[in-house]
Amino acid sequence: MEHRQHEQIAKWERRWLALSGLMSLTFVMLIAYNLATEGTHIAQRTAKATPEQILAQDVFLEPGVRQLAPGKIQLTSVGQAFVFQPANVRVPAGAEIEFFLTARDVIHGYQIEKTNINVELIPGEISRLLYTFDEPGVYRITCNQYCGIGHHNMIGSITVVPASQWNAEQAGEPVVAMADDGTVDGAAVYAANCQSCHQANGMGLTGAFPPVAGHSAELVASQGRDYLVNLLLYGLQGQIEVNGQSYNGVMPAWNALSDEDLAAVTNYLLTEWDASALPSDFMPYEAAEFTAARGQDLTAADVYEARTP
Amino acid sequence: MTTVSATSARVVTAHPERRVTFAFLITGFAALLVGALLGPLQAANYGGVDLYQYLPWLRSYYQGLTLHGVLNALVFTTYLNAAILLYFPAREMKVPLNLPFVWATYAVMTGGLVMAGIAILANTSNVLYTFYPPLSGHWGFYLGLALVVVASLMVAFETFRLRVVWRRENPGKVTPIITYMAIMTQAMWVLASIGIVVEVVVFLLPWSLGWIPGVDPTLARTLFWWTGHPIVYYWLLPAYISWYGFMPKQAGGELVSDSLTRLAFLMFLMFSTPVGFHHQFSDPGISAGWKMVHSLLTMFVGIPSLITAFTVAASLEVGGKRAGGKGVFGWIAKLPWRDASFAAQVLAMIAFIFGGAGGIVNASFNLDALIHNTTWIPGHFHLTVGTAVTLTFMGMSFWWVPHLVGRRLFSPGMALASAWTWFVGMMVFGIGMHWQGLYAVPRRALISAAPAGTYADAWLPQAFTIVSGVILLVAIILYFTVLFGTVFAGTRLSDAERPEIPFGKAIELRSEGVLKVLDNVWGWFTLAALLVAVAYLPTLIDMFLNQVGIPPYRLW
Repeated sequence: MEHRQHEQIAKWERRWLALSGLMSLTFVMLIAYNLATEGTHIAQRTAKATPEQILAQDVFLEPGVRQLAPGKIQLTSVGQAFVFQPANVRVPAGAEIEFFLTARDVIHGYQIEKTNINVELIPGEISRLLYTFDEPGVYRITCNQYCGIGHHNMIGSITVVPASQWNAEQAGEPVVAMADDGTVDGAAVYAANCQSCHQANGMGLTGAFPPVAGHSAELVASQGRDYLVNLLLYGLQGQIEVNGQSYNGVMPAWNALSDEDLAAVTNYLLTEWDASALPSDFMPYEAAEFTAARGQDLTAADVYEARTP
Repeated sequence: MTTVSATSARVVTAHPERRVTFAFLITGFAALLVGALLGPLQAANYGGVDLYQYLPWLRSYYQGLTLHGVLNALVFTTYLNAAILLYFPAREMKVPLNLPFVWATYAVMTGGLVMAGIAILANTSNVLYTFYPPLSGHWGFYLGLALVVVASLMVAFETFRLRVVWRRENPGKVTPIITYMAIMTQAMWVLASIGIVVEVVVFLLPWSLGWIPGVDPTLARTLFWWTGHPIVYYWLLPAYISWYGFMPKQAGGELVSDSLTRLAFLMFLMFSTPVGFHHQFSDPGISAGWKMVHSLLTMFVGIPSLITAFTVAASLEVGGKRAGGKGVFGWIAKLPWRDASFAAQVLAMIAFIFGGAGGIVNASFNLDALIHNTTWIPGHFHLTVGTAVTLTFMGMSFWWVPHLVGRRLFSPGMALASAWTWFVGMMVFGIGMHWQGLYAVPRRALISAAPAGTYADAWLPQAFTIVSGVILLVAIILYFTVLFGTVFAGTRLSDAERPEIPFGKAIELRSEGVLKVLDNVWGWFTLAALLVAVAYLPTLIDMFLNQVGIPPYRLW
């Protein structure tokens, strides 16, 4: 190649290098400026401890929305397979929301559509961030970190309402899954929390999650009435056999649900699929049984040990 | 593997290293075939259609996705890298490979592949190719992957040994260009692999065996991304070796700057690794200051790719102008577009322009919040590793497989068609997935089975994704017909007719002295290691001292 062409390439090469460097530096400066001026949505860690210690902290005892002062809201949420606790929340527009987020079992994601909120929920850590919703509307929350077989069902929502409406709602009773007769609807609790593993028909998933249909009444008979209470409150970890099939998934602890919800969903399991197998003197579970069983020093492994094969 | 030995028995006479090279190459492409065939099912999912339920041998979408990611991203690339980073330096320097050692490397890598493959097929390890704890796979999965990494480091050792032998015979000379690129790639990989080796050997393997009760998820993620980002350069740089080393000759041109080529690879050695936090911008457990440092360093690692765009384009321009092309763009039409090998690799480069631009978004600490863990990310890396790298390897195979097995390329027309359909399919996929990401559609989720209407607003980009799956299925069928057609049914070539390795000629723009400075590989390696230590150790030491162990979970 001739010398002149050579020199020309070298000249353009220097220009291109300078342009590349300048472009990168410009990007970095813009990023730094943007974060310094409006970067409060970036998650920071506020605690590192075992998940049990974190979930025992005040802020997570009853996860949900709390008003700290007019215009200042605290929102706590716990990710677990495969739901957010709580799944659906309502907040006022224009208020500064302080999020405290964590995970109970594995890593989950917490992304709110149309916002810059996109955080990893890591067991053993609390993520804190600040955000203000200006526009009322329903915002989808998605778990965007793969967390197991029901990952795609892990969806929640934040409903942003005008502050005046929100304040009016707070004056009334909180809305939970109520059936027409005023009791908690066990089917709704099941659909929101259990269905992604145990399936809508209660048949479970081969190898991982055992059937609840045709098995729940049997458990009450063979393991005793307290077994289901402890199973729901403390979870279960270890390989089990049901109808000759082995299952190796993990049952998370559902102690974040209210005692009323837990009793309702247990009764739902027993009556929806196993009614014919129940003894004639069967008494439905009551919330008080769950209340009384809380606070024991039990783990998911202990519940497994206590299970008679 | 009976097909490999049956074929390779007929393969070679003069260059015994061809046989083991072909073994790595064909095993890698076999992995790609299996992994890629699952791709259209994934694309259908992101078009709202769950086809996995009709596959009796796969239990779930997530099992298929684990297989797809592991085979395509980890296995295919590692095998092809072994072939490229051993064969071309050995031929360029005319130093023979230590064949028993290289075959042993092949055996270790394949043993690992089989072990991890069985673990995945048995539905024990649906942890995806990032395998973040506390989700826990079977120990065979981790051990299998560890063996693949060990084998890749054995390959690196052999590449280094070749250069040592050469230097003994050529004292004071500057390392030849292909070998220099291979050595820098391997040096980068040695530094990069430390993270995943520690993660798997110290934590995940003992944990999956029940020897330690818990693993700290943030520490494990951080070690994973120590390797997880530079591994993409470990995939990319062998493709760059073809772009810099072979494409100028294939275009009838010359490599316009030997020294700038070396500088680009030197920069990859320096800046590939201390950037992993840009995958963890959303992690609460890393300080914003250190994330910003990694964001800055990630911007620097964009520079050698911009250098590549200049140097490779200028080298091709020389070829186009020699063929009679005039003006600013006239040379482009004069390039050998009918040559499937050339066309595939230029299309790979074009895809990389879009992949690289998206990568700048991912590397930006603030913008990441919009697209982190959305479909934007698979949209991005299907343009980079899925097209820039894979289509380059496919393009190389169009001359390299005939060269290795001594058979004529089966249907050059079909080869050209496979390259174009792959390119078009991936571009359509890229549009669909990047776009869905802006609607906050999560990556790697069975969204076709999510509650009805959840992602109804993303219907238009979803249509792009499902169409791309169909185009890519056609591309896969065309490509593998050509590959297996060449190996099993191609016309036999005499030794004189075999395609030669398109080693090019490089133009020196800098003095010998500059090249000598660039040639101090271990000096630069030390500097790179120091930079990694500065970028990582303050954070990592703190993580090591404050671990919270979480027990294993199997949630599938």
